Amino acid sequence: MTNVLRRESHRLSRPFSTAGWCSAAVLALIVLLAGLAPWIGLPDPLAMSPPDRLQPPGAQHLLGTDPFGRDLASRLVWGSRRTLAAAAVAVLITLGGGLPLGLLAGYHRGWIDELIVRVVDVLLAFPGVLMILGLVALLGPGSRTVALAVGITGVPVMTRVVRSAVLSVREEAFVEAARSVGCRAGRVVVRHLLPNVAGPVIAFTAVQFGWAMLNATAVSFLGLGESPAVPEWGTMLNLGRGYLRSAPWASAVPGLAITVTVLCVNLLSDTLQDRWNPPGRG
Amino acid sequence: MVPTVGDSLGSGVTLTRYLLRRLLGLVPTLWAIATLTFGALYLVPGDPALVLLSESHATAAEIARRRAELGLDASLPEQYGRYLARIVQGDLGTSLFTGRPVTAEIRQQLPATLQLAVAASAVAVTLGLAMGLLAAVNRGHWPDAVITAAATVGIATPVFWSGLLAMWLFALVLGWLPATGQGGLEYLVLPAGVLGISSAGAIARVCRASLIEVMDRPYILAARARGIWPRSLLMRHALRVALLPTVTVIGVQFGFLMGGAVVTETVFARQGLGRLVVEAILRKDLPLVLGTVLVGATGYVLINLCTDILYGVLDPRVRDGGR
Repeated sequence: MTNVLRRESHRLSRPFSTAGWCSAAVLALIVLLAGLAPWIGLPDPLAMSPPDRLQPPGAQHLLGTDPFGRDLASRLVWGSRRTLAAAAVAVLITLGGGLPLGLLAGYHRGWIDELIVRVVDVLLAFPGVLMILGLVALLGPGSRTVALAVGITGVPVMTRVVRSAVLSVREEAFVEAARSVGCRAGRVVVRHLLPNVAGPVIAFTAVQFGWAMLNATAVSFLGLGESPAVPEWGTMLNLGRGYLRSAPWASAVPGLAITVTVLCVNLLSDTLQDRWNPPGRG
Repeated sequence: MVPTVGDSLGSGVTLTRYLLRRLLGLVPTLWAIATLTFGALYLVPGDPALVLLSESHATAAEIARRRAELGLDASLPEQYGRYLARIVQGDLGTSLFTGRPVTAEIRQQLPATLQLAVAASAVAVTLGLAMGLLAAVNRGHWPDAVITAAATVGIATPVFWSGLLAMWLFALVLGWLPATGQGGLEYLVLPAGVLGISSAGAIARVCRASLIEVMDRPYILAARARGIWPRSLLMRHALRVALLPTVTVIGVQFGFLMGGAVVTETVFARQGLGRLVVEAILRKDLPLVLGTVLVGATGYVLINLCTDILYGVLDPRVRDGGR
């Protein structure tokens, strides 16, 4: 119990760092823009205009145009919807698989734990990108299958993180107390374990979001995502790279967008980790 | 921490046993990898014979013959047994598209990827350790802040973009290096540099964190109190211990490098396994894709075995206790 109190006071006493606040603000702005895309007066992201192809950034086109004369600023904002959605769906799949499996393994121990750990170890033997590519090969290219493949690939790591978080709290006195007054396993897990593993799991979910975004855009970049017409950051980069000499902005715009978003997500996750995992508590 | 006399006396025996245990532990993992690829190959997709012949208007008789050729008419356990037997003999099946053995395709592309991965690892390890060391020694001062910031940005930057940036700057603007293609060392510098730098950040972070943790331990303080000069303290006492977690990260980063190599090869239009697998996916050439995945996973497992062994050599405690 004192442990919990100490953790609580620690949580309250440590404010968000400047980097944490800044990245949260930038992320909020990105999400806001993505949400408001249809209403902020952007040009049509799909409208091609051959005379305007590869225009540099300027008054008419804020971030320039792509090889088909489409407005890059508009494609960037519209593309953020697809890119963010792909990463979010992937992370939800990862969480949906990893959270129950990790809770089950960590709480029950015994043969279930043994089995889950073994399977997770084998799946972790596949390097992430190779597993994603293998799954995309099985499921077929497209942005949905890419999100699914990235999400599935994240499940083993998530399971491992949740399990170790559960192991670190399952022997605490309050869990013992809940069990001794006759709480059923389900109640102990949901009411007592889950809130106490939430911190590290949320921090890891944020890391995983950045990872999912890097991998989903990488697969789109390889040409295994949507068709080049659809605005998506990885696909935009793939299209822009053919014009590196004449129009470097065509690849710089989506590239910078990916980097800034992932950077902010990682910084936010670092901040969360500092808050929930004070030094000295694994 | 620092090995004692007792450790070094018995280390020959324990090290051999440790190695044997590690090698035996490899067998179930490799078996499971093979089983997973078998499952993917035979259970999930449609009939490979149909896929293969669907565009050529084959007759039912032709399809049946082709199925027999591919061994698809046998029962599932029989197919599974044959698959395992073939893999053990180094036969990964035939590419649906080129009709050549998958192993031949892989063997042709492997050297280029290996060359890239090894060069990139060298860059990553050298740069990562140097940055981590420099940051830890200057903890709290500006070199630490700069290195930590650079590592954080580096981790967030996708290789396909940093690769394009480097290509733009060094090949197109400055004209120092060729932009794309294969050949001598000058073609390797940009891809290996970009890929290596992309994973140096993670190594630097772990190296810095573990060095700082070690430097705070009492025995380091004791050594300092005895008047041991900081540099030898760092090199002899701290670095050896701090290398342990770093070695693990290097193993993990190698998997990352293999994935990064796929993307890097596409960026720089290089030959290699990455190009092979991407093209195979686009052509729905499942045996070739899964063969490459199998080889990649096996390579990754072997690399991690090597880092485990290195771990055991560096830290005698690992050999004795636990798994």
